Formats: sequence, structure tokens, C-alpha cells
Amino acid sequence: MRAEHRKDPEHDPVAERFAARLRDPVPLTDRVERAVLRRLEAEAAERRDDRSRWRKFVAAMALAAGIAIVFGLGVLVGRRSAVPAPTDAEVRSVEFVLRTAADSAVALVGDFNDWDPSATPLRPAADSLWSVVVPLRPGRYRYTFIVDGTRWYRDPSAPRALEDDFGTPTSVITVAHR
Amino acid sequence: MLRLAALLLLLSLNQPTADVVAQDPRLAARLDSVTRVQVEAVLTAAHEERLPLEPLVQKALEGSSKRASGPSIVAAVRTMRADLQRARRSLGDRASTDELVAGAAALRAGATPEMVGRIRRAEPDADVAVPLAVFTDLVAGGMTVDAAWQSVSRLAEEGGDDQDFLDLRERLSPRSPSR
Repeated sequence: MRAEHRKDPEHDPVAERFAARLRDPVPLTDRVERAVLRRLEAEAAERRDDRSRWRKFVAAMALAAGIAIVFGLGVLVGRRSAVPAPTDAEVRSVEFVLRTAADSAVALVGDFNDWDPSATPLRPAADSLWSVVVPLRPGRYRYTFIVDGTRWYRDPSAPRALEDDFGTPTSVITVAHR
Repeated sequence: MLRLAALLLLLSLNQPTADVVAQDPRLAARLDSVTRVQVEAVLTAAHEERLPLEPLVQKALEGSSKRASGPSIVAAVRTMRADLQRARRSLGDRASTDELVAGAAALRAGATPEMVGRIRRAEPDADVAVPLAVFTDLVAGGMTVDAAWQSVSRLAEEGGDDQDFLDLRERLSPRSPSR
């Protein structure tokens, strides 16, 4: 009958017998078994080495990146202020004095404090004298005074700066090496 | 791997990149964006020429503090860069930042590149920042360029030290006390 040839192929008794034979364990000699085990162990060790190498690479990159970031921040932070560190052996204490009838405030601005009007206020003394002491390294600095936040005065006791690009009076101080 | 990390570290320590140079936080805080970009371009060029950057930054901050216009600030920074270039040509590649700043000021005061170069040759192993600064101060005080030059160059040839130059300035400019 044609119907007999249309048996379910998944339940063919002949095919099942072959499959059962194939499922039987293949007997291996001790020599083959040891060789297979050695190969498996070697492959496992290689995978462990690869993982270890990758971990070292990631750690090294993270270390280098961390150092670079810290150094970069150091550069940026170090550039924030031009005021010399007071521990420098070459630093000299320089007193700036201005006699003026200021109503409220006198500030010193210059190459040593980023021209920041709030960085170096002068203190009032008797007879309209205002003064401040600033630590300076050897070098040539341009500076001026701001009186009451609006009026600019150069230091009458110091040389005038010739290179005035912005049309306001500016003085210059030269601090020599010891 | 540690060799790779060491190499990366050395590269990071070598020189600040142009981007880092340009992105000075002081400029970002004090200049408008258009002016800042133009000033940063000058700084980047100066960095490539190995010129000192701090005098240029201070020039820009001075302009900001004095409420100068953006174009004025950019022009002043460009002029400062050109002055530093001329000073280095006269003083040599080994000139310090102080010497370049003083040399730039002396050139703007009227010294010729030859004059500045002669100060260097008179004191090849000494820091010539103070002699150059004193020359500029004497001219600013009213002396002619030639008279100031003769006074300073004579003292340089005699081997005067920094204090000798400051004393010279005090003698010739009574209203300019030394510090």
C-alpha cells in the first residue's frame, strides 16, 4: 500500500537502530584519552591567558588615562593664577603705595594677578595712603591702580609703561634676582 | 602592558596639546566667545613657535580688565606676539621668558634689534632682562634712545649686575626708585 511507504520518518525502526548504535560510547585507548585531555587543558589555559592579558591591558589603559587626566587638571589648575607661590626662594615682598582720596576702595591690578580687580585690594592708612604688599618673583610686571572701581591711576613712584595698548595709565616694576 | 602605560604617560607629560593651550580657563571666564576664539588662535600659533604664552594671556586679561573692545584686545595680543618674535630673533632661542618680555618692551621703546643683540653678546651667559628693562624705563622717563642705550651698554660691557643696572636707573630717573 502506498500508505505503508508514508510512515512517520521520526519513528522508523531501522533509523532508530542506527541511531542507537551511534549513541553507544566509542571505546578509546588510554593514549587517545590522555591526548584529548591534554588538548582540552591547553585550550582552557590559553583562554585564561587571553582573559588575563586583556585585563592587564584594560588596567594599563585606565592607569595611563588616570595619570593623563590628573596631569591635565594640574596644568589647568596651575594656569589659573599667575601669582607666585610664596615658598619660592626668589620671591620678594614688594610694597605698593598710592596716595589718593579714595571714597571706598583701591585695588592693584597687573601681570602678577591676572589683572583681577578683586584679587589685591589696598588697605587704607593715614593721610590718604593706601598700601599692599605683594610677593613677586624676579621679572618685569606692568600694573596700575583702580580707585573706587572706576578711576585708573598709574604709580607715580614707578616708571611709566610705554607699551600701553588700551589707553589707560600703566606703570612697570622690575624685580631683580637676588 | 606596563611599557605601553609608560609610553602613554611620557606622551601626556611631553607638551600640552594645542587644544589644552587654547583652552585657558582665565580667557574663557573673561573674554566674549568671538574674542576668545581669536586670542586662542594667536596662543596656538605662539605655542607652535615655542614662544611664552603667559605674557600673551596677561595682555588679553589686561584688555578685559580695562574694558577694551574685542578687536583692540586681539590686536594687542597679536602685537605682543610679534614683539616676542622679534625679541627672540635678537636674543636667541635660549632666551628666558623674562628676557623676551623685557626685549619686546625695549624694541617697542625704540631699541633696534641690533642693540638688543649687542646686549646679549656683551653678557652671553647672564640674564639680560634687567638691563633691557632699565633701558626701556630710561626711555619712558624721557631720555633719548641713544642716551639710554649708551648708559646701559656701557654698564653691560663693564659687567654690571642687576643691582648696578637698577642703581643706574635710579641715578638717571630720580622718580623711579628700585624695588
